[in-house]
Amino acid sequence: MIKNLNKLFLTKYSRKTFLKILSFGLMSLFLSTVKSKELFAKTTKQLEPRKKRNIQTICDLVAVHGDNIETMAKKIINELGGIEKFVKKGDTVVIKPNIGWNREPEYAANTNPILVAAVVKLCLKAGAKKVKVFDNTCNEEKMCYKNSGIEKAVKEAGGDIFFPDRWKYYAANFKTNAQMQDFPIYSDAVNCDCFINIPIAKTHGHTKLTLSIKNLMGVCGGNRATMHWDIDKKLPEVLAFIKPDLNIIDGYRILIRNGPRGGNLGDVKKTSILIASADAVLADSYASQTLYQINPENIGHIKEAAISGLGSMNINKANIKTFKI
Amino acid sequence: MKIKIFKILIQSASFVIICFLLWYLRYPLHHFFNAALLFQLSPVITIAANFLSAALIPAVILLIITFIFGRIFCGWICPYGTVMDIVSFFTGIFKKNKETFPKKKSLKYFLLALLILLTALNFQLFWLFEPITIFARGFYFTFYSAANNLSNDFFYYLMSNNPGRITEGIYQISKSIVIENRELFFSNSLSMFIIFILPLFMLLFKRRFWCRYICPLGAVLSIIAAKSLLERKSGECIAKCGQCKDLCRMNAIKDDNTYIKQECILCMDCIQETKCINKYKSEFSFKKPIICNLQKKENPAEKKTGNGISRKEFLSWLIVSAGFIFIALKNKTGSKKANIIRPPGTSGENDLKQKCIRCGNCIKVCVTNGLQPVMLESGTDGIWTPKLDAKTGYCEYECVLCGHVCPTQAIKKLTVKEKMKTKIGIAKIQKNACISWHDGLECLVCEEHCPIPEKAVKVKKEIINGELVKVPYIEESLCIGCSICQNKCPVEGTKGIIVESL
Repeated sequence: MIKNLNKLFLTKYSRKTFLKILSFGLMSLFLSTVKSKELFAKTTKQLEPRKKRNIQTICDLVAVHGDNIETMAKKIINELGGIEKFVKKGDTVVIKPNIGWNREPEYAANTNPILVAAVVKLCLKAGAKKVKVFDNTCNEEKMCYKNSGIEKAVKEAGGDIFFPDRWKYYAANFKTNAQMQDFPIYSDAVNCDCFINIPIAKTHGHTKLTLSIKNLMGVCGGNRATMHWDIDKKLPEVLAFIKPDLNIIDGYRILIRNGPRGGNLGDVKKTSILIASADAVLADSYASQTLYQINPENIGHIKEAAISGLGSMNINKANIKTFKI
Repeated sequence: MKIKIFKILIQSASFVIICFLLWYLRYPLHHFFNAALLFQLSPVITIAANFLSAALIPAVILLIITFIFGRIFCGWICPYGTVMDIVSFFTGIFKKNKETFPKKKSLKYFLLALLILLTALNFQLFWLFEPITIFARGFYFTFYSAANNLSNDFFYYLMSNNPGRITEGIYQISKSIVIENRELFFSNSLSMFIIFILPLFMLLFKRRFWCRYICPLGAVLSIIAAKSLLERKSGECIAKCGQCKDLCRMNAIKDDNTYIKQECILCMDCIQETKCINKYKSEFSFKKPIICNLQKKENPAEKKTGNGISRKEFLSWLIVSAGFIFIALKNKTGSKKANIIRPPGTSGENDLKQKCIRCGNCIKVCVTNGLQPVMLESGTDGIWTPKLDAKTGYCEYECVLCGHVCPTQAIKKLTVKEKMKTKIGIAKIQKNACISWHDGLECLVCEEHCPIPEKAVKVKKEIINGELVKVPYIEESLCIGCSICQNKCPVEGTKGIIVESL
């Protein structure tokens, strides 16, 4: 091969061949740059806030006590008006559970896998084209997905569970002066027909409680640690951007101390309740009042969200149904 | 000719299998068939690890195989040898070389003796010369990380602009099977690559230069192989044309067509009928068991022309080894300021430096990319030992992978429960950097992430700048030093919480 290369350099070229070679080289260079610019152009795509369908549920909030999570999940959605109200045929559904930590389900750090699987099954039954499940985890993602049991449960239910891809985080078009301007949002969370938010109720050192509004942090990218600065203002902005269609708070097992990561079975309390509402603020207020006996007025981000008109914090006025199975 | 093709097939198959093992040394890990087994094959690593029982069995199996077949490992299995064969095939030097006999082959035995001596003097240096680890380091920290990061970047640019159905499919498959969904970073990988590439430059002078003169693993195996059962038969050859002598990549064949048994790596080069003028084929066949061979005594004249060393060589090597031993005894302690956090399961700095063979298994398998090779921070005998670097990652609370892949048990196999109680460092709040302590902003990311069930990072209320603010503080008896708090701390520059070694 080296000998052949030598030949290439030693032969004398006429002017014509020289020009041919030159033009060929220039052409290929030009084409390659044009093509590569197309390929590697910087993205200027910006996400717009999610368009939410106008869904009127039968009542504002449903709470179900019971022991069988699957029947509880079915009951709770039926009482709100049935899954058909939220999921139409051919829809792309995004389910956002809490898979933040590398813990087993019984430690109540992640959403109960049975509940996630039950909701996935219901969505598929209602004719959803695709059910996507993901979370931006705090610990190592593979371990979180596996040890939380959600990966296996969702796959068995027929859902689509995946790790968030770096390239799907887009800059989001928040309103000007928004605190969240520097944080990109995962595009799948916005480009979907139905967004179902399934958090687990836990205590949190900073925000006191982590419920459905706090769970939406999992669709944000960027340096999420800095999101904790002034988080009470930032979380309502995310809620206004995503506008989840349905929030189901997993209160089957809850963390009452040392949240959000837990790790002690003594900190886990079995309350056997599911709370569902189309209004994230109302669901959070109800959960904080009934599960933790904390007035939602004292929880910064819930109060902020209610003030910006994203939902109602007034439990007494709302139409609430409770059931026991 | 058939046996040559068979040998090439076996060699490439074992190369592929070894690369496969090294590539898939990551979570989720098979607890028995992982790359640690490959490293335990090498008796040199067994010596380095002070003859640990766990690492003993595969090495003994290799020695038995060597006793039966000779240095078949060097020619057929050794991945670094395969790399050398590939390189010398492409440089074309493979065919040109005219070999002359005799050449001194004693250097590798000398080096082996020196390394064993140094190990006895608590200065283990096998890691610099062990061929499997050299290959593994080159593979992990250059090839694997480059392939992973480049394909990650490629897909990132491709998918963020042209997300088509086919590219998406390729991406999903490669993400789930081939590449990792993260960028990898390994510090000091250039020094490892230099050690990987230097012996390949030696191929410009001689084929298999490393295997002939330096390799300590080859030295161990050739001591056994000198008495092996499989032998090359060439007594009938009368031509003495010297063709097979030139073909031999180990330069093991003498002018009179006999060969030095312990140098032969059974590469089957001398069995090429086409090259031989007389169409004579040399053969490998098993000799009779040793018991029947007792009467046959070696020719005393042959012994004199063996691979002895002269007085001059002896003296020069004495000086070199004296230098090594001087370094070993003198220059051991690293600077005490260096804040080196060792992975959980190590028992003491000296024990780690002694047993660690620097294969890089723990560093590669670390799920958070937190383990990094150190350079000179921990002394000259601590080069490339693993440390936990909170800049790149942290120690996952329920993960014990590094102990499970360590071939020499420098990092012990811990159960998850044991590991949860293993202290590797202590976190300290930096009150003039922490955003809560200094600026009075509520943050508490360290408290959120602390994996200890009772929380080693606790919260109290303190008046900062005239306001009552929640601030973190450390419960030192609970902290195990996993460094997740430092890793996740949002403060840029000096972190608000820093983990210090014990």
